[in-house]
Amino acid sequence: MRHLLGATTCAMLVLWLVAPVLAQELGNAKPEEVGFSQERLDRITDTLKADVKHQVIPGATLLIARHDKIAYFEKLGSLDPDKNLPMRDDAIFRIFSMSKPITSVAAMILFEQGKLFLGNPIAKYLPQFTDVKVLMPNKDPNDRGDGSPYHLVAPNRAPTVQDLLRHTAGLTYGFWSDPVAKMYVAAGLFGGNYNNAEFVDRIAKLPLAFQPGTVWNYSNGVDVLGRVIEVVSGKSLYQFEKENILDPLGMNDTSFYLTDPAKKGRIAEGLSSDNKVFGFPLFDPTIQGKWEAGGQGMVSTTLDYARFLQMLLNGGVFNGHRILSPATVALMTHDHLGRIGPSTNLYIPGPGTGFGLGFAVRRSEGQATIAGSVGNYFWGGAAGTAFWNDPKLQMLVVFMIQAPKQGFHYQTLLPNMVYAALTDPSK
Amino acid sequence: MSHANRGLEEGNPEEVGFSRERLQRLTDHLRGEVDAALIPGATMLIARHGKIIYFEAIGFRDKSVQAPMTKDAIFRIFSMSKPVTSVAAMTLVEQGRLYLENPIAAYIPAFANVKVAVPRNDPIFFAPQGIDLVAPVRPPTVQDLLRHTSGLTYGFFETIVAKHYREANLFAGDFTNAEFAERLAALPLAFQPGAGWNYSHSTDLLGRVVEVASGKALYEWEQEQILGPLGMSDTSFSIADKSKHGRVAEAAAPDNLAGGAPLYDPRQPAKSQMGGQGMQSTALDYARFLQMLLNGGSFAGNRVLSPETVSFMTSDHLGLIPPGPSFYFPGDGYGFGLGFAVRRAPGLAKHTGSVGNFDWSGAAGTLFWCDPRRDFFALWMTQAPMQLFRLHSLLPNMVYAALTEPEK
Repeated sequence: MRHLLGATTCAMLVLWLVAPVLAQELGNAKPEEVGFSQERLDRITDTLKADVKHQVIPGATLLIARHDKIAYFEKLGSLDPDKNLPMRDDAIFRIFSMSKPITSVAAMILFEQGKLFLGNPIAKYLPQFTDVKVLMPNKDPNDRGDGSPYHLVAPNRAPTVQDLLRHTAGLTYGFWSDPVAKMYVAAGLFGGNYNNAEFVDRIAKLPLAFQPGTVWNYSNGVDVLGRVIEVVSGKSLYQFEKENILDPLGMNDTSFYLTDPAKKGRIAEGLSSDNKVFGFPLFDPTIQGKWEAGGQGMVSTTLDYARFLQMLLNGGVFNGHRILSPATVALMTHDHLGRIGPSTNLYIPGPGTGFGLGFAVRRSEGQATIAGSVGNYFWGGAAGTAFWNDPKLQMLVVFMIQAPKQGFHYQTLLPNMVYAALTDPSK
Repeated sequence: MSHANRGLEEGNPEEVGFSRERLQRLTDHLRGEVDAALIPGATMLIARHGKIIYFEAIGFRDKSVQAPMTKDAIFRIFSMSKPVTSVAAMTLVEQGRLYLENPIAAYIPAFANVKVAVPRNDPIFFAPQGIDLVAPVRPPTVQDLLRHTSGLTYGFFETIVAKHYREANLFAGDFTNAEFAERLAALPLAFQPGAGWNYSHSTDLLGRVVEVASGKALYEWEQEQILGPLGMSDTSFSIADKSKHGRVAEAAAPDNLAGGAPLYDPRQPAKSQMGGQGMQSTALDYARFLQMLLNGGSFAGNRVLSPETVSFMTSDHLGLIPPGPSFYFPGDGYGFGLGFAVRRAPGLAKHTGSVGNFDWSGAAGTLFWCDPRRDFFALWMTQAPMQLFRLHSLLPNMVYAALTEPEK
């Protein structure tokens, strides 16, 4: 009980301190004012509390906003279960793949400036990719050539910047089961302390797993995109994002590494039973490394990410700061797959869903296994974080957690329960 | 709301949703392209809700003599002739004198015997051994000409009939549209009519169809139906008025070639009136044409087409017809209407734009697009053939970046 009271006092203090700032940016509303049922929102809170109690998750934050106003912002459970610290509004989470939308917006800023073209081959910016090959299975499994079941062919067309943004470049991830994924692991792609340029040198030496433009395959493509941004802008990825996205939007707690010692006590941690991503312990963001991984490397807070999402919902502007134009946001948040289907690996966007430039995009009312509007765009992170924007209903949701095994579960549960609580969407 | 009386007048960017600061970024970028010698010079015009909110002349009209670009410079618009010819054809469709479904042969009898080339393969080893000529499954129609599905091609594409096109001396001498149509009719089609979208001499042939159906020379019909009523007094196939000769914009070497030859001299009198590529125009002339289309077929009270006909032309006519066999210029996310590429998808494409946009461009680097949903158009004139593909992405990306009005 003392523990809970402490948390409440702490939260009130934080809210009181940040309230004037919030008023300028995202406002606050009573749930009913923007169409939500308090009773049904409480059901979400109760579910999260029960999961904390049963040690399914250490702690979490959940923010729901509609029409620029925060209708729900809860923090539950522990910030750091080992140290018994309560969750905070301003907790800092490893957002993993929720870095990708930020990197994608950074690329589209250069696109708007006439410096980057979706149709250009990656090799135009990264010459290492000039002679990239595609690994193909041999047609005859008993091929007597060199004994390998695979051979290399030239790509049917060069992988493009658009391919990187929509995961159709033919790149893969080491945790998949295709043969190139195994080559990623064998090549020690992630060994040592390297920067984006060195990472691209490494990955460009390996073949593509699929012909460019033929399948959607989740991949290190957005890490490569991060290097494209560096080459085109002449700045490090973080420096470019800081100047063009993070600072204008006031995302002061979003970065690749936490250099400010004052922020160290705000880092959320996982339960000892669930604190590994693909076998690796959650990284320590206070250890300054060189790699600014545009596909996975960032930490952020609930409110920082909410600002980013509100900017997108507003058609590229937030709090007077123009990041992109409405038409560019529309280009990013509509389907770019068309008839391009999934690869042999998992199609994370799910049924009824295509992919835009950095986001999964809901294509149909039905087919999907989660509630949502056509036009919703969303993504999640490997440590369990998730978000979605609903442009039709002018709603954004940010869920922050450090519980890798629970990600897929909550990415289904939350839309279902949040839409269940939106009982008057006409408001 | 009827826009029949809407013309073009001056306006401020902010009044119609554009950011002045971001338009300035566009201007700065384009000046940088002049400084970097990517383009010699250009004119660019953007109008929204009938108001010209951006009209710039940058760089040189003729770099070889350091003559600055002027807003009234005359450009070779090449394939931007096609939309004008297509509108000319649709004026005849509206008058009941031309039918989209009619075989071309109904207007040009020589096409009654046109054949389709199919590959002839060795019966045992399937090695290619030239072509066979077969009858078309259905005759090519006027609609096929307007949407590039006729089976015709261009000689610069590597199709099955490329050799035939190159050896046919299609461009020999100073020829009329009637003569050009006869030359085309003697060549086999590259594919079955309606089987694919393939950029081609179709619109040149359409020009001859317009002549036969109207009983007038193409330019005379266009003058009467389009150019005269819209006040497009600087738009023509060759520039007869010597007082205009000093306004012709020139390309700068080495980027001054189209099809391997230096850009033609439009000051030379010629019989040729090629509806697919032969016109010269200015920014303000072509802007009137585009505003007429955005207005639903009328400009400042002068009606050229009805709103229904314009919307019919600017809707997709391909459906399931696939691209090919040659390069698909409209691009991912685009179909093709009657004379224009038409945007079908909000995503997929490699540049920004609204669903329903219709656009086209010319081989010397000119391009335009109309956005009916957001009620604006952008028009770009330059003479720099090698830069066309890049600009075709760059300009929409930067113009839409400047349209900051919130979406409805």
